Amino acid sequence: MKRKYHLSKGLLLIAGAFIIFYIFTYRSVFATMSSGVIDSLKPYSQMTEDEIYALKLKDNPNELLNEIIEIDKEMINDQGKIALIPLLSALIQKYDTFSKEEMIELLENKNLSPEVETSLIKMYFMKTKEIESLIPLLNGESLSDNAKGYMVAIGKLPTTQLENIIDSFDNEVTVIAMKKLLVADKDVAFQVGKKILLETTTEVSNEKLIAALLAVGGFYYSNPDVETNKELISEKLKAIFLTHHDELVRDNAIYALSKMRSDELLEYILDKKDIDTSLKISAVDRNLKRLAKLAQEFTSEHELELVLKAMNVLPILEIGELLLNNKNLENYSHSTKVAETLEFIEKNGMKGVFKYE
Amino acid sequence: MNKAKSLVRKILICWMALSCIIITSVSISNDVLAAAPWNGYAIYRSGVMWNLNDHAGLMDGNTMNSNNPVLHAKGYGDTVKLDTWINFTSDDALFVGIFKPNNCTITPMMAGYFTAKARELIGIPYNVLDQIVYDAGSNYWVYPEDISHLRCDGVVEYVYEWYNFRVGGSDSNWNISRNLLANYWEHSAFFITPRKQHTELLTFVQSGVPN
Repeated sequence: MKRKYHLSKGLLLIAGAFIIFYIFTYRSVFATMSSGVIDSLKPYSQMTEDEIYALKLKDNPNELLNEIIEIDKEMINDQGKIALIPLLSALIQKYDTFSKEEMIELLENKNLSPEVETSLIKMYFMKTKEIESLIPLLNGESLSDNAKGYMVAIGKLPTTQLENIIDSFDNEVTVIAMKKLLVADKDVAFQVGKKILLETTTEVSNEKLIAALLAVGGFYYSNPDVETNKELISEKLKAIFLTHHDELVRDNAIYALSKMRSDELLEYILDKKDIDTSLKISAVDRNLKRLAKLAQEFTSEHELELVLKAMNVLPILEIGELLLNNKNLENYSHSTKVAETLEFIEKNGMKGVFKYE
Repeated sequence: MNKAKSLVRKILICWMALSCIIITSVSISNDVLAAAPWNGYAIYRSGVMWNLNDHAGLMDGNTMNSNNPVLHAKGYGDTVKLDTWINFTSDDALFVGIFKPNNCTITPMMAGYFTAKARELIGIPYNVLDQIVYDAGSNYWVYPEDISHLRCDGVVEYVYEWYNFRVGGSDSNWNISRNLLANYWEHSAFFITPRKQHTELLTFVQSGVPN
């Protein structure tokens, strides 16, 4: 009995000590276990990012570049590349110590990782806005698609060049080029997008389709009064949603439809059972200002119903308030749907974010 | 003698109880006793390179066992995407914890709002240099379609700050979704990183996985 008691006391003591040990060593155990396998990063393991950055700023630019390239070679996957941020940031600050020609040569001749390529491209554009010399790299084999996309994203390419990229690429670069074309010239972007959607008879890549969907959505969003081809294109977008095999393409078709500033299309999205709630929320979010206007001055039961449907997907307090203050609502006081929606907004509503025009 | 034994036993029981209480308090913050559904919450795992930084994602599913529960920008060669729990945590990384925006209660509606906006970012390529890369022309706000590249912490920052929950940045230029050079600058390089984001800029919810 005495022995048993001693045994249980011992066990309890060991267990308690283990638990206390766990509490006090939790963070350090975690940190130790998280240590990586890249020996060249070991010198920085006890430093903060600011300390690493300050230290690397003192380095010779070429030595720093070579150090990063060597670390990269040791990395077998991407998950630790976030650790390179202070080193890459220090390198980027040294942009003026490299000539344009040196940077182009590095991009042409070295088999660099995307983070080094994009750092050099960033450095290039910090030094000069001239982009012509980089265009051969876009069509060459030395750069990763990520770096090509980054070049298109932060450079200022002429619209004709952007059109060429959309035509000749079938990857992320295509989509980025279309985003830039939309900023540079929405009319041209629309024509390119329309051609892909309505005039191309052969099968096009998912990226080209997404680029085209961005183009038509962006165009109608910026030109709410333009009706040209709107019906034709919206039917095409619905067909893409219903029939395309790729989910991202289908989602982008709905995003484009919700940008077309049409009550009918918003209603289509809200009514369609195949469209998931996230896409419906995005569509309501995109049309919040229109819905607020309708809540304030709806002229028909149909318009009121659209507001109610939207508020059952994404209840917005300000819109609930506008509805309550609308004297026209008295004509619908018998409607249970109105009462239920107002109650739903009161219980679940959030402050609206009216960032879309 | 029996009295002494009983006293020792009581002390030991108290010792165990105290330990359990402390462990629980390590795992769950005093601020929020949250539970599933976890969609809309930010999650972090350790980076593995000498523990120099971490990786961020947003919960899209209710728990880690949901189908593709994580939305994240994993790395080069990848885009923002919905992914499995295993692909988020990776083999040799450790889960850091679950976080939420300061002064925000993530209701089911709010979670839907967050995940809908996050899904609008799917397909955007990764970039490590800055949280976000965009060209929004003369727009007042930066829309998802203006963004060309995102870093993992940029996904979290954009979604929360779109809905005006401040994560990082100076008092006047904190909103990553505001199309201004100063705001862009506040979110470039390592002014904010995944680790700074969860250690300094968000509210800790728990260190346990979202199950």
